Amino acid sequence: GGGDGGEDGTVTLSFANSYATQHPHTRCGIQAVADRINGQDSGLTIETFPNSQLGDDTERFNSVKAGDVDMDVQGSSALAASYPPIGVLDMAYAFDGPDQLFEFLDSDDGQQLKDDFAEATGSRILDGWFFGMRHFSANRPIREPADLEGLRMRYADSPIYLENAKAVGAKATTVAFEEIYVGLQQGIIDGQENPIPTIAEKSFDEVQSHVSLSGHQTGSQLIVVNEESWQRLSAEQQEAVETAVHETRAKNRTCIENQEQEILDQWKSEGTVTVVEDVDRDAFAERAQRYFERTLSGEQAKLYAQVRGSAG
Amino acid sequence: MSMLLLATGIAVLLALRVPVAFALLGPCLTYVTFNGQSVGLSTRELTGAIDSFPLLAVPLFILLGVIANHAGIADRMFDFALALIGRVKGSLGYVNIGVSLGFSWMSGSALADAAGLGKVEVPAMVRKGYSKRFSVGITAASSLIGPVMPPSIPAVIYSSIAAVSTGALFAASVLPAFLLAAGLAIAVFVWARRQHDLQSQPFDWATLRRATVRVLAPLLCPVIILGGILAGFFTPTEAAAVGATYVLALGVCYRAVRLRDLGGILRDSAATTASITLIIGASGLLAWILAREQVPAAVADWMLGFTDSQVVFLLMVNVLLIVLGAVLEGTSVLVITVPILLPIAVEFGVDPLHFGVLTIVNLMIGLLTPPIGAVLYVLSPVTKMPVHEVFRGTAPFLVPLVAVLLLLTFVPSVATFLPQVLGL
Amino acid sequence: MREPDETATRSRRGPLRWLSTAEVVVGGLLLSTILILMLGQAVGRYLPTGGWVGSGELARFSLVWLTFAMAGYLMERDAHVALKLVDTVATGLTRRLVFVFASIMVAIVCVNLAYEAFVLVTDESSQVSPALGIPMRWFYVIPLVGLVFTAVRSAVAVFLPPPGIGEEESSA
Ligand code: NA
Ligand code: NA
Repeated sequence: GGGDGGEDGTVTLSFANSYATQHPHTRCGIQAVADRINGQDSGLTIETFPNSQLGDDTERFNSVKAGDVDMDVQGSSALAASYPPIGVLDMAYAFDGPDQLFEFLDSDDGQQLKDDFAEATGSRILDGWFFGMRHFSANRPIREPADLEGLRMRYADSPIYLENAKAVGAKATTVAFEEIYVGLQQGIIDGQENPIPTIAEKSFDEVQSHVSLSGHQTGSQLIVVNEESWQRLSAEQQEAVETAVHETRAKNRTCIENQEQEILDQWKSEGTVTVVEDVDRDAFAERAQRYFERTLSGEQAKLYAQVRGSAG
Repeated sequence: MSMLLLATGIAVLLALRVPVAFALLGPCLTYVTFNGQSVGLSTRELTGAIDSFPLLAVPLFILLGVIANHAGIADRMFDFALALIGRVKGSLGYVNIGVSLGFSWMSGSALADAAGLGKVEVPAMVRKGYSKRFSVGITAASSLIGPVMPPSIPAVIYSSIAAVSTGALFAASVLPAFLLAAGLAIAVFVWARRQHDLQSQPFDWATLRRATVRVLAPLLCPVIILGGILAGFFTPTEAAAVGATYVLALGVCYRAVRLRDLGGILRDSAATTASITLIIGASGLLAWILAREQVPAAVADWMLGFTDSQVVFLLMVNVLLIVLGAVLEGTSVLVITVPILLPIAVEFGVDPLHFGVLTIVNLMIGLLTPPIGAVLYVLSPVTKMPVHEVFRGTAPFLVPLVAVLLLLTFVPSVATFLPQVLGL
Repeated sequence: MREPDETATRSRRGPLRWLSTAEVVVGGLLLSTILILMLGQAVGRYLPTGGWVGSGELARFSLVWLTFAMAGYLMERDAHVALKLVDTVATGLTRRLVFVFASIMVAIVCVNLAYEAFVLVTDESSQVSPALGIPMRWFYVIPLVGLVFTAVRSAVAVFLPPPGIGEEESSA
């Protein structure tokens, strides 16, 4: 596998993600974990591979399962292709925000989910980081479900996202991520949904007049590790990695929230994008909850109830 | 297994006539085995690299070009250009460039242009007193307009690797493509002044009117493709599908494409597509290994230590790509070098669109240079001239082409101006 | 960026010819599928029902399948992109030996990859594709078959090189 166990007890783990070098998930994410571990002289070295260098999300998770990549950062909707229940974490208004997300991950229900996932896929979830709240952008404000009427909203073509569109009452149109900008600019699509750093990084703010803070999804990214690679680590090394990943979680969140705030301040001062803050989140959330309670079944329904039940 | 060994293995296999895709795969599979990667990684990366949405435009633009060739659209453009400027001294030289320019809106590949137009243009020029060497040379050189002007297959492949918008890269390529045409026209002008026995064609309104009518519908194709993208009716990939369908309809209306031709059109397009996508897949595995071995980072460190000047970096890239483009097929160089060079270019502050156009022009110039120059090899049987003679005809035209390349290197706005104006 | 050699109709007899026909039919159908799906996506956006969610994924898969479906056909016709420089500098037996070597290399690569594809096809994991929900093991069936046929073609080429190998100036 990728984690080469040397004769002298030293181990190297590869840690990959899909984000650019300057993205918080790299800077304050995998790189932060690597710097911390590599500075500890524990015989463990972490090499980072940001920017989808080792393949796109699907390819990389397959590589984690096969042991060709040791650790990775994955969204739960991508992981749902291998273990469907976990997609619940990405469902619209499942979580009220990062606090609840973290509480859930640390809870017994969260532990159960991680265990079930490990059993189904042979990969261990170490923890979850906050990706930012996902918001709508369009050329008009979106304050309540009715405002979505007549808008072609771009969603990723994965079942969870398309369900999310139905749950909040949006008409989903699937456009490849690379074509969103041109699509928005040319009016092929009317709006899209992403966290603020992504909207700014991909310059969607240049071609959209309004960003409505719907916070319809508490974006999360799960840190997965191949089980065999994990078992190659000594107990101390395992603890060091767990601690590093867990403690990076808080700093990573601050990093993301700081960046969000910077971008929002810039938009407000430049006045190029109108930030709509008075979104009726309750109206959206109630609609979504009614939808999911009606449509989900089996493991997903059980997990959804647990997640909603943990809301404070 | 060291990266040097991997590179040597690939080079040896290439030299020994192993098809490019397999020459890349052989050493990569050896690496994967000896490095203890899982059984399945190679096939997953190979298929994963092809499984890309932007790449879907590749088979569709290939199909568009093949249908356009079948539909005899090049002949119509030739007649039109000749009727328009037949009287001008050296007219057939300009006509040759003009036809490539017109056809470039429907074709994304230099080889399709050279193979399709060479048969028409070279005999016509020789009949009118142009030397065969000159005729072949201008045909070869002007075939480069096709893959630079949108739609462009290399641009589609670059966009998919670089994760830039295909539409924006298309826009960035328009001005450079016109500059290539202008550069070649200047070369024809300079050459024609010294020629005395070129026949010209008298101008005649009736002929022009007839030729214009015959060329109107084909000229709508770029309007549909680019207009459709810019007006917001469809994405570049969808535009490729709409364009192919439109040209197919034209071919049927012109009775140049019949039902029984469809099989051959699909077969040729599918075969050409597979020959390109298999290389893309193979280099996907290679890119995985190079990334795993941190090669891009090492190259970046070396480059950044060597110079901090953007222009010096781009000049180095020019030399590297022309050399690679001369010995390797364009797609292969594109898919191998872009993942390594683009991150470095971004560190040097180069716009990814600018870098894309520059890379494509470089690689296309490589199509005209020995030892491999694919356009030379395509034109040689078409014109029944030995390859070295084809090159002797082509060589003078490298001067204007390289001049445009240098202009593009020093003046990024040649590429970035149009996307900015269009807000792409 | 290249066109296959249309003039070269190197026909073999019997099963290999049927195989080529089958490959071309599958390749042509997959190409038509891509065309129709992308047209449908463009049109579907303007229909009240919206487009079909799986069109992007099925089109992408078709491109992968097309690649492997046509690999053997290209091998048969010596139409894979290759550096055919050696054809211009070597003659007779040397040229023949180089061709045999290249064919053996292709066969080895294909057998390796076909084995990998077989492992992926028989994989127990229940992973499905994101949009269509196709079990991912099925995805590798056409690559597996295509690689086996390409291996067969290259093995045949070792003993029976395509007629006309090296007789003409081939394009690179
Ligand atoms: Na021409
Ligand atoms: Na073109």
